[in-house]
Amino acid sequence: MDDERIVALYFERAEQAISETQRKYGNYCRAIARNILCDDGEAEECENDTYLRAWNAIPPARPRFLRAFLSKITRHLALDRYAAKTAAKRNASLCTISEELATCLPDVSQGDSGEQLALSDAINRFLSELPHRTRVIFVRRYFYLLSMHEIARDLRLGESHVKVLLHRTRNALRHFLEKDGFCL
Amino acid sequence: MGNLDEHFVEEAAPQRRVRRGRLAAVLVAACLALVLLIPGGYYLFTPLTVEQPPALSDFEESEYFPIISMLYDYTPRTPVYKNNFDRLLTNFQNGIGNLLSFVTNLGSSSSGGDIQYAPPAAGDVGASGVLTPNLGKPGEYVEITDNQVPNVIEADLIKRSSTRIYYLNGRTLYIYRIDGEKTECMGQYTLSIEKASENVYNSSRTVDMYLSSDDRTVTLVSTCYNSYTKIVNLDVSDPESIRETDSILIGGSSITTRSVDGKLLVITNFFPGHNYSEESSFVPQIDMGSGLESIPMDSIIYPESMSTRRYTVVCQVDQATLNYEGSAAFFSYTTESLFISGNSIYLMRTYRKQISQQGGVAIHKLFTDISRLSFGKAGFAFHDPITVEGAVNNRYCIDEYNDMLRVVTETKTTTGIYKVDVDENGNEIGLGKPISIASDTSANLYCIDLATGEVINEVIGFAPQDETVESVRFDGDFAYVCTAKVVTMTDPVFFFDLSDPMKITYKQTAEIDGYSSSLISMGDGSLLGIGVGKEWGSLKIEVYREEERRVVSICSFELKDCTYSSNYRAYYIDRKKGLIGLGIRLDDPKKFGDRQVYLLLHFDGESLNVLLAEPLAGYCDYQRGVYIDGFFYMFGGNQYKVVPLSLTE
Repeated sequence: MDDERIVALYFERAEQAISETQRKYGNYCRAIARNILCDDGEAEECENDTYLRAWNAIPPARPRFLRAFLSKITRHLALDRYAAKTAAKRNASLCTISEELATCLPDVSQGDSGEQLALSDAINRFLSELPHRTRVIFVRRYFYLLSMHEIARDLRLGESHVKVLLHRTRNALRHFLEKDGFCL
Repeated sequence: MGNLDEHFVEEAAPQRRVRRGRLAAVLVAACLALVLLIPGGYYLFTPLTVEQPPALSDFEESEYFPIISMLYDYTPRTPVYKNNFDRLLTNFQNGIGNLLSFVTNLGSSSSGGDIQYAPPAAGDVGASGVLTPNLGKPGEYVEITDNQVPNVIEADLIKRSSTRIYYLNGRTLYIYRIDGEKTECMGQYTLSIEKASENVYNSSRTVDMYLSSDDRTVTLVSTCYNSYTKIVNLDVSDPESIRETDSILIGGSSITTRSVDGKLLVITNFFPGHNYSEESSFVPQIDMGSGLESIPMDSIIYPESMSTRRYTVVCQVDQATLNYEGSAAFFSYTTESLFISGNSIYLMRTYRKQISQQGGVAIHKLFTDISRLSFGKAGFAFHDPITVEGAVNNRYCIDEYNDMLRVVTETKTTTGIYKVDVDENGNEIGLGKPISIASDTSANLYCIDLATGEVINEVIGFAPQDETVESVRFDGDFAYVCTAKVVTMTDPVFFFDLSDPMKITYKQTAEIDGYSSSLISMGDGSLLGIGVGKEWGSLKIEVYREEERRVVSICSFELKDCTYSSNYRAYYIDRKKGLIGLGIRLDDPKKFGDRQVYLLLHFDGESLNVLLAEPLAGYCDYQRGVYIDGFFYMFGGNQYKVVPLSLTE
């Protein structure tokens, strides 16, 4: 079933919307959550929570890209769960990613929602100026939280190539945000 | 990063990726399949060819050139199978068929089947009977086989003497001491599966058994694999240490045997191969005292034209020593209705012959050449064949009596309408494809002078139209014939008076339900018929008697939903006591307590009464029974039973 039809089921408040969503994107959401949480059970819980969040969000939201919409929900939920876990169970890869981002993103967690929205807007503007492949690598690394090995394998690139490219992109982002007035 | 534009998130979404490793495995598998497919396909589907035989002229110097000449035209030049796939598929189907048959037969006997090698178990025994003197020691031979011709002894699975009973179950011979309720097995002997000679092994089923007059030697005839018949003499003087004393090999699969005045006649079927450079391939071999040798060409009788590709081999050996005494081979003769009298063997060759053709209408009839091979101290002597119309269905359809040969044949006239093939000038060149074919059947009776080979009298077409000959019995001056229209399950029975062959008369019954597959003269003017009742899957035993103008049914016994043996040797017939015994297999095991049952009836002159219906192991074809001094002994599979039986005289 195509995304437009599934969204229409949400608007009709038909429970079939959930089953169709699960059938089409269940594995996808579970994979995102598993990447962050490293646990099948918790990933499955995140998946189920994603459906509830989507049901509550649609309507009024009418996502253009349902997959991306669900990805963001699942990612949020997984990261929240991750933050609640003890340090001993933390995902090493996620730690690394956080450290990488810390070098180019300001900490706006203590700021108001307006500052956070401004940052998101700036990041989106930055990404829109990147070459397609660079942007895909960047988003896979820092949104989908994939490892460099996975990114390099999928795109048939060397791992060092991905590593260098991400390093340069992070530097470019830092400069972009500094010019936009963000303090790092 | 959680608030990225959905467009960017969607763009960067990881696609479902076919793992390189899996892709590589698929590619390798595909390449491998392709590599195997090409040579595999070549092996499976390349048409098979047959190596062309040498030229016929290469064998002109052979003693057997006349036989080779006839066989040569029928040497296959096209392979049996189109290709290896055809061959493998056929073998697979045959294997499945054999497996299904095996699985089906596993449950065919409630008592474990008829080939058992466990020590026999005694069944119920009743009150004590008369003790037999000289218990268990060799006694005198007592004939219990209902031989077709007096003094021409037929083999059977059961033989007895005054002190012992011998029963053959598969390859195992059991010897019992006759002792009423105390009857027990004294000893047993199993023919081993061994190499009788190079590439010749004993088979799993022994065909025939004979007992010597002094009760000390049992002769066993078995068919081996690779188409040989092995005859073995066993010394049974001491049943606890039975030993093999003599043996002989004869080419071909055993068809039948007879014992006449201490001489054993063995008749086998031999199917020739195609290797004309090797005599053993196309000429029957016999052990004539110094290993296997080819039957001499001058001992082979053959017609001008071949109608079937096989030999009927006749061999005479001394029963006591198994020394070879002579042999003959009939090339292109059938053996289904072979008849053996006290001094002659009659072999049949049935063939179809066109008797007329006009335009596209052709009429064919069946004919039989009856060839006589007399035997005796002077050896074998061949007589010119006699030709009669029709087919001789079985050995009971022919009889020798008072220097006369009497034959009942089943005739078949086929009228065919064919498309006529013509050449470019419109001239007829032969019959083409058949458009319609119709057949009529009936029966003839012939009386033939053996001295001249001429038919001195005949009764033509006595059976109602479209009836077939189901059973025949000659009894001195009389002949009894049952014909039947099997489709409608009705039959008349004919009584022929042959006392004056020039004035043959006959009477018949009206149409009777069912038909008899065996007719037995009870010796008191009554005729017993064993066969099928009104419905398929039933047994009917009926007694007929001749009255002034007709034949009537006196009494009958019918049992539904059962199978009976059509093998005449499976019947126990005691004319003096009016006993008729046979094994049956019931569809409903609850009727008599088991599926396999031995049935014993008594004919008191007016009625048929059931005396016994005893559950007994083994299939009905191989069950046997015999009455001895107040007890009825039954044998089947690995089981024997002894039941007291008092008969009012």
